[in-house]
Amino acid sequence: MCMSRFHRAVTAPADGWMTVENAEGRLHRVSLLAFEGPQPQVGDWLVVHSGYALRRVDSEQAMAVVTELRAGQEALS
Amino acid sequence: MSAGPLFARYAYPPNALGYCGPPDPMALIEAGSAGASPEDLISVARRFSGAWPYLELIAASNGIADPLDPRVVEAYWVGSGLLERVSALSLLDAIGEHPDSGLGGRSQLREAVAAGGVAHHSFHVFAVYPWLALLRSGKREPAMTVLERCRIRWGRVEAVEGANVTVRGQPLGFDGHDLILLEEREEQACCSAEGVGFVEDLVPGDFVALHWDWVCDRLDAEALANLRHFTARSLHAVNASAGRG
Repeated sequence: MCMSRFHRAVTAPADGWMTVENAEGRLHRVSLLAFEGPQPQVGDWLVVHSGYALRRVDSEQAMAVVTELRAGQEALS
Repeated sequence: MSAGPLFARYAYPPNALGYCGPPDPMALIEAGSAGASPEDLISVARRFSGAWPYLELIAASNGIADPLDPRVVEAYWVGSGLLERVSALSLLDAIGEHPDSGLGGRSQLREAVAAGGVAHHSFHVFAVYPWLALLRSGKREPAMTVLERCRIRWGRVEAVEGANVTVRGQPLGFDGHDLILLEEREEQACCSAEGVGFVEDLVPGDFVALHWDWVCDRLDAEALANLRHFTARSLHAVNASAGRG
């Protein structure tokens, strides 16, 4: 039931893992085992699903979605 | 099927792993407890952005006002005749746009719905998640593990060992083209941890529903038959779609 979500990388990759931050500011450790493309860098926006980073996304696109998501969550709370 | 807050017991395992829902998994447990108000659980359940649109759709399609009505929740996670009353068009609308769909895109999702896809959790896992596309492109892991752990699977209890059980069930497999169910094998699952648990007094021979590493519910014969049926139907639907690597 989970959805792919945008997360921002907050640490450099180390041993196939990195820490990312979701739209709510919650930190997660994610695996890069399924990641496509060059290694992500700090500040990159990534699609994350079920604990795995999958691909890099355009930062403007990610910010637009995250802003919308935050607004929706504020409306629900 | 056991009574109680069905949504919480099935939603807790991925929420506790941080994959979906609100940040604190205890919010879900507390909202599903006997003393909580229905509004509390609705407020938490809405934050499961994958499941909530299906619950709303199943409820609306069956003239049920409450998306957390146990009949609706059971239909989504386990399966029931309520799913037959959801139109293909409204299902596609509820699924929406998913550029990372495991089937490849909108036209393949439409094909899969036409091939029998329904508003069941297994269809969401197999068709909407990105993992089937990765599997078909040759990246077996972690795709296989996520697809297997995230679907609701059934198992027969073989042994109870404290807070854990050994169950026998059919794991998901991949034959190079299609998702399939393999021969039965045993696995371990958790019944309770840190004060959280959903099923008590299991004995060998009971059938249970599993989500990630957890036992979520005891299944009666009808629920077991429904879970088998709708899982098989979702497998057929995604295997029939053209979204192959």
